[in-house]
Amino acid sequence: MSNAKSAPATPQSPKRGGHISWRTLEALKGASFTWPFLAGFIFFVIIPVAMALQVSLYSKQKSGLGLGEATTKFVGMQNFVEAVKDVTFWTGLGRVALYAIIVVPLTQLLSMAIALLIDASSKRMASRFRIFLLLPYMTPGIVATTIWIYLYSPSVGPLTPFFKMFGLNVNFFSSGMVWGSIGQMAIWGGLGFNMLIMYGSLQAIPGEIIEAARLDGASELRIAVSIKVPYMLTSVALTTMLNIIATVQLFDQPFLFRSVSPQTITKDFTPAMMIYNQAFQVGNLNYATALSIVLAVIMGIASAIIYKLQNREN
Amino acid sequence: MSAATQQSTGIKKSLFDRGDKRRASQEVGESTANQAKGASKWGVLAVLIILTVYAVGPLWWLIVSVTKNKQQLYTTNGLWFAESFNLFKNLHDLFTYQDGIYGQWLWNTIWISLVCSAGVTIITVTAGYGLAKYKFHTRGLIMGMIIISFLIPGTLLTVPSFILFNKVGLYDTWWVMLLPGMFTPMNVYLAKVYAEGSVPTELMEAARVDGAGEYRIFLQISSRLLVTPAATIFLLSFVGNWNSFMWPMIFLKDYHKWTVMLGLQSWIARGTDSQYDLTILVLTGAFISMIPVVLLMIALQRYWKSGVTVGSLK
Amino acid sequence: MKRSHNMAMRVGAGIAAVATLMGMAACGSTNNAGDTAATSNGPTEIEVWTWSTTGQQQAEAFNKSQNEVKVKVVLQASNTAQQQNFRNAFEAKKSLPDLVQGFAPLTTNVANGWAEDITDSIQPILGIFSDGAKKNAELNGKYYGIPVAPAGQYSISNTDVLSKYGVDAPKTWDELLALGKKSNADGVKIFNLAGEDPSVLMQLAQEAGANWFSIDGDSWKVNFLDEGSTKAADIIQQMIDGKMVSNETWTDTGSLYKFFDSGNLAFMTTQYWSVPNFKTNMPNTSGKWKISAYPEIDGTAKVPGIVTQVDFVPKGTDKAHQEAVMKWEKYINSDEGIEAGRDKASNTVPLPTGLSGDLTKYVKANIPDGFYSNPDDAVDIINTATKDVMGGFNLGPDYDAWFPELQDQWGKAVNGQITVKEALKNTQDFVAKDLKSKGINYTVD
Repeated sequence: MSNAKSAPATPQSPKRGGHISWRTLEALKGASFTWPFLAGFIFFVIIPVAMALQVSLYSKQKSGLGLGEATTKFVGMQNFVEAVKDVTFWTGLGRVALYAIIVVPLTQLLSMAIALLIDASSKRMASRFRIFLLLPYMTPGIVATTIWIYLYSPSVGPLTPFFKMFGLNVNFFSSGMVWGSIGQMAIWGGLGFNMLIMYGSLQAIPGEIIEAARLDGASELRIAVSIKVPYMLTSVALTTMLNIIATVQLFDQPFLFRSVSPQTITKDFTPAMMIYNQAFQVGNLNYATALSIVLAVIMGIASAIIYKLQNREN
Repeated sequence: MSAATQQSTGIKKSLFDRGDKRRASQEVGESTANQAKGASKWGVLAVLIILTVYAVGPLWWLIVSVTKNKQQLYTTNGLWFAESFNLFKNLHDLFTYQDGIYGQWLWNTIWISLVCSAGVTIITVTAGYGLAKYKFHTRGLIMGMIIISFLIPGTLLTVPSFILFNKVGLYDTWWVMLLPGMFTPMNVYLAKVYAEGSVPTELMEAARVDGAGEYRIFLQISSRLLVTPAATIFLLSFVGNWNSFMWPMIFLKDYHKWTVMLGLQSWIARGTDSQYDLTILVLTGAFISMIPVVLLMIALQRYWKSGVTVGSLK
Repeated sequence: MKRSHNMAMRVGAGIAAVATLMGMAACGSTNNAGDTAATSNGPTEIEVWTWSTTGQQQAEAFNKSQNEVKVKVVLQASNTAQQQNFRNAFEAKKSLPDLVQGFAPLTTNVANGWAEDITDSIQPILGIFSDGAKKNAELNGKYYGIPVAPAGQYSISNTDVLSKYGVDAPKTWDELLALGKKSNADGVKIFNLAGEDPSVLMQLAQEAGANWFSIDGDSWKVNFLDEGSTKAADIIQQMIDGKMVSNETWTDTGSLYKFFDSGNLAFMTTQYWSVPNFKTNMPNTSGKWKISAYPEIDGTAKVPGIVTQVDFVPKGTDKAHQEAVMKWEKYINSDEGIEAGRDKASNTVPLPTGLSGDLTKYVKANIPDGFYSNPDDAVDIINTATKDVMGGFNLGPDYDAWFPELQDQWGKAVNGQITVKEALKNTQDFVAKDLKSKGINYTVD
């Protein structure tokens, strides 16, 4: 009850204009909830980021045969100027943007549908389905990869003959299909995560509202669209943003598909692949860092716009 | 006791009573308001079943594969069992290969994931709660930093983190596995979104009127309303920890400290680079490694069932 | 033949190393605190980085066998993990080992400032390595790495296909092309070209006498289009144009082995360590593969092998630790040390490819029963391939940058979008641009 001290005796009339107001103290205490996090955040995120940012302002140069020590010099914004002019980078970005426009809404709609469906089924059912639907998310990446390569394989996988039964000749590894194949894998792996976050927000809906709507004769679909969906919007906005970020940083799947469709997926196919290549292959960490920053800024702007749009609909 | 105090106590009581009742009713399998009624119930079920097949179907390959031996893996139908049943032999190999290191990795992963997830849940739920329910002047700044931090590609941070952790003596210690993961900005954001939806400001005001301090309000009232988000964050972070391999790969030197996923990654890499393909061991290891996550999911079920109704206050 | 991305090459090169050394490779050391030589009494402690699991066993045996040097092996998760960890430690100037299992070509190690000049300290043990292996560790007259040779390439041909067309195993690339012209009508391919793996082109170019990078005073001479490269490109181009090749990738393993085992592949080039996996995954054709030497070009028998991974001692390692590293190297390349690295799970020791002594017993131990149709010839052919493997193909100061570009270009060439020659030309242009941006002197012929 040590708290009693901090609570004023007459809470209805908080002291205004005192040397330390009741509201100020409350705010301070509220802020103190975030302090443990902030301490760790500063140490484990902000400091390393600051160290990394510095790198983007320098450049390394060699001379002669390139076998001696490289000289590092401060070049200011030069790496950024180059990044802005880098056609390969922007082409890659255009590619993933186009991909994101298709895959992100698809993932989101499907995840929302699943969250709503689980929410609308009996609790016992819900708990069963939830586990199954979360399994792809829990599947380790290396296993998911191995599985899909097998399923997609034109010569040994089951999907190609399956589509043949419907007269469709599908080669998942062909140039034209690669994006579809990558997108499908991403959707499969991402459903569970999105669904879990969205489902959480559905738990906060007051049962009375839904019961009232039902008494008014609203259909289940109507209830889902006009009552439940608005409650989900914040979590949809969050997962959309995370999805966009993940999409723009697309690396694993295209990297994998490089072997099966090398004529299509080049080393600079996506911005993330290009950054990786610059940092760890070409060995230009300075430029790679500058590219990462440009990419982060663009994603920031895109997320802000989408966030605004969603809030407006709200 | 003032009238206001009585009133707020009343609200608190009714709130929890309602929660308890709901919980009780769910346990006997009664329906709740959110779930669909009538014919649409069957529609919901049918769609859920189709989606479940989509989610789980691909994992069938994994189940079949872990019962095969090395020869059968690529030479028999991937979707059906081979003549001989090798699951037990594979399990034996798994737990004896490299002097039985898999068991050690599994144990490391279990306790690291549990401790780290518990830590991240406490730290981020309190931080998210502070950000959601209190107005203090650094709030906007913190939220801004959190959102910007989503955009930072992880690869950017490995070199600076390595330098930093070496300086402060975190490198190659258990702490490096536990601490950095406890300050995930995404989880703070998630906790904030959920806290906004599930902790009614009116309830906190009423408790203040009662003379409760801010910390006591959190411990005795708000934290109980945040069980669902906490469970969600715990699960997400557990799965994240479970599947992480980059972090231990970079920051742990001694392979006895590795996690399961890093160990499996290393087996798969070594298998493709040398004479002896370890794919079957990797698949068996991955299969076994999914079991604890599924068990955890089942254990956390009850926290999703007990969504507390908060609407009556609005 | 090879595995995914640049493994194939590694195969040649590095893998050999790996294999060879399986446990041996890395070494390292010490130094968290920059300690080092300080220990005038007591053993010198060195830290070795490797991703081979048998390194640990060898270290234990070595530590027991003498008390001058104490080796601590740090097991790395994979080749990529080791590369990343080394880069980090190098940036931080902290926690560096004394010996690292190779993950990059020699010139790359030197150009990045990673590798120490070990010319003096390696002298006492140079004799244990073959001439080819020594060439692979030497740059501009100095040793920057531990000598290493790739596993020698040889050929295997499907005997059913050979007898169907009434030919013997192809001895030259021309004979292979001739077989392709006949068998193509029945859909039987004569070679597999994986789109992600240009190592076939590199090896063939090396065999034909190509030299992509050479040092001319203070400047690099870059030439991806010399006579040898052009010859190699022509041969591959004929195969592609004649639709004589398959394009199975090492990523889609099931499909790859199914095709290899289908009887529709007449021929491949490979190396000893791939064969155990072939035997496991190709049950129908096991026993029907005839081993022969790597095909000749221009009538001279050569065994190409390009080393892309060289073990090295990190820059800044002092003399005492370098000498300790050499004692360790001597041990792991001795019969005793190789035996100590016997893999428990498979009960095998790798073929120590870069050594100068007689390796016949190791060659024999690495020939699986029942895979070759002529197992008696296998010992000789693999022995010769191991002894004669070429060395010294310089990959230039920026291999890590241009290899992915060559992969891109190769993928397009294999798919018929550009010619193999154009692929080489484009890669050469890329090299020129990259060297220029780095401030390195070069001329293009």
